[in-house]
Amino acid sequence: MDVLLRLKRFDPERDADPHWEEYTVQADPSDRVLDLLHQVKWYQDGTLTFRRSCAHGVCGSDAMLINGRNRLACEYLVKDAGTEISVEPIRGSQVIKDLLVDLDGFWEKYRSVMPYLVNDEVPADGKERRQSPEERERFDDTSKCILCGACTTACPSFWSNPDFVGPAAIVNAHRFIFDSRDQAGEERLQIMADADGVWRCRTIFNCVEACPRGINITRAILEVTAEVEKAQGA
Amino acid sequence: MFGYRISWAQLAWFGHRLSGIGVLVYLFMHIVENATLAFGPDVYDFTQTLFRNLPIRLGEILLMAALVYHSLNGLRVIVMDFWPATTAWYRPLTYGVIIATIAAMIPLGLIMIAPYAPWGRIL
Ligand code: FES
Repeated sequence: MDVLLRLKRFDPERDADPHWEEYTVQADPSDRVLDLLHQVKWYQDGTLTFRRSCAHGVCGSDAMLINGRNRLACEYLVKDAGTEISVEPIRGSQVIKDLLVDLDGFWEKYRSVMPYLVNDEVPADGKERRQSPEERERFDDTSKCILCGACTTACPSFWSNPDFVGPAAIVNAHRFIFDSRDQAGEERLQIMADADGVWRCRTIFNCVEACPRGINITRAILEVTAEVEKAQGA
Repeated sequence: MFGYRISWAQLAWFGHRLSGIGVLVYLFMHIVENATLAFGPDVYDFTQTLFRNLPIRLGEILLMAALVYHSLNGLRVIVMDFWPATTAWYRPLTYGVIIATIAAMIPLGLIMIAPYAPWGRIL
């Protein structure tokens, strides 16, 4: 079947503003939107620029605004998307070219929550830090994040205030704050307590709707918020 | 916000803002209206007559709807704040708030419009 693909394109060397361009591509219902982008890039217009790596929903490279919602192009099937598909770059970041956006700010916020295990003590048995299944379960949901940025760039709070640390960074803070082996919880909570931290969440749930991993992001944010309040003695 | 698909939860948040601003604006008007009491009973009685008509009553019904919605949705947000696990049901909770607002506004609206409705005058 034929699919009409509308792509928001922008070439900083030629265009003053982004504009829509249309392509007709042959597709099977089981094709993914990423396959359509490949068709355009490989057979129609080699200048089309976008990110992708694994093509199987693991690396988180290809979050895009597809048919009005953030999704992974490699996970969204034509049979669900329909025969008219529009693809735009994710919002709130500067577009470098076509569907490729500058994610430096996103990574900076990610790094700000210290997304790694902090524990300088030698484990009790000298070998490993044990954790019960219950303790592991505590942060299971947030450990699924693939850092695609679909949540943060779907958040109206982030659109209106680009300094908001954003759902993705909070999810990754949650991942370590609730890890029984970690010792930097206090520091992370301090970062989360910032004016541009967890307080910016307005429980709009756009992040939850956008997450390709089905993480209950708002729950994670509210749990971190409760923890921040506890730490502040509220 | 434009061009991004609006979900019910996003609409609920937008409605919360809108009703909040609406109620706040009303509050200012209400303060001014009541402050005319300072100029004596005559002035106050006169301002009150300005508020006894159908368009204002329709506005008051809207105000009531804003209050009901803002309170119910506020409760929803408070519940999620205190018990983050309840966010798992954010969709049914959102629908519930919207349906409850409509359900509450049917009798409330009928009672409020009664003095201006033909059947209301008969009653
Ligand atoms: S290309 Fe890796 S997640 Fe889509």
